[in-house]
Amino acid sequence: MLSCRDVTELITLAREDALAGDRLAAFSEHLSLCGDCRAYQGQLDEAVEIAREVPPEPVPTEVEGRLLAAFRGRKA
Amino acid sequence: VPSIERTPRDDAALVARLRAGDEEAFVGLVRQMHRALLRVAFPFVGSQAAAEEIVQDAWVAVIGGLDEFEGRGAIRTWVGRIVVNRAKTRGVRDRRSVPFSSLSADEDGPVEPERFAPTGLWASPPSRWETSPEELVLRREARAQIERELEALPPAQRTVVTLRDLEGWSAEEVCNVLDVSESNQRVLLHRGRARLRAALERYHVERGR
Repeated sequence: MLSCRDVTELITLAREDALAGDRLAAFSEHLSLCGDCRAYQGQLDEAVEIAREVPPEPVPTEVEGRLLAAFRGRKA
Repeated sequence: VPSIERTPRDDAALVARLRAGDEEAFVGLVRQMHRALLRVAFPFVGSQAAAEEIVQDAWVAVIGGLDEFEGRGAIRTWVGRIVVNRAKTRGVRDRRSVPFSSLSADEDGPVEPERFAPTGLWASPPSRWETSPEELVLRREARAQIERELEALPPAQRTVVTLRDLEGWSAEEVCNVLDVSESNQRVLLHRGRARLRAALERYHVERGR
């Protein structure tokens, strides 16, 4: 029987499809019975989903200019 | 949308455009990869300024090597490897330890141990909150909290979480570029994501007070 602590340790393995067989069965069974661990998993997913929305950093204009000049230099 | 699926055919077309001197294609690639490459370099060199320098030098090397690129594997893996090689050289020169070779003990496990009873059951279960993505202000605040936590992550975790979750790289790409084992990659992702969750929980707990 997996403990809640075990389940929180296995969540990323499960999300990466790296859990199989008896371990996957035990993991899924625990989640189906434990609301707290389901909440934990849902919150992890929510945090990742919010992280996806963090906007990328823009390339500084002068850096872009320098690189573009180098790229043009290649053509010449 | 950060997760851009690249196929070998896309990459072949892109390389052909770059070789033909297509400036739009080049600038597009530089912009698309900027954050990812900075995060790739950072753990090796330990400063933002050095990471920026490495990334710029790497692009110049990419420009010079376009004709040699054999097209085996994805273009972002190729560019990423050039950044890593340069960052490693710089790290060795500055006598920095290699950040991904071993997982340092000061990086905590995903959930604070005191939240579990000795039996491993929750002693202090996750606080619950209502998720309401339609509330834009809350969403923005939550995102700012997550962003701050990302900045505060140990560099190796921050790099892996950024590549996987913000940039949409696959586990395989991350392992290839950073030269880390699958299991190390997963541990870093696991710890980093858990800290983002904890930050989100703190945000909601403080809001509820």
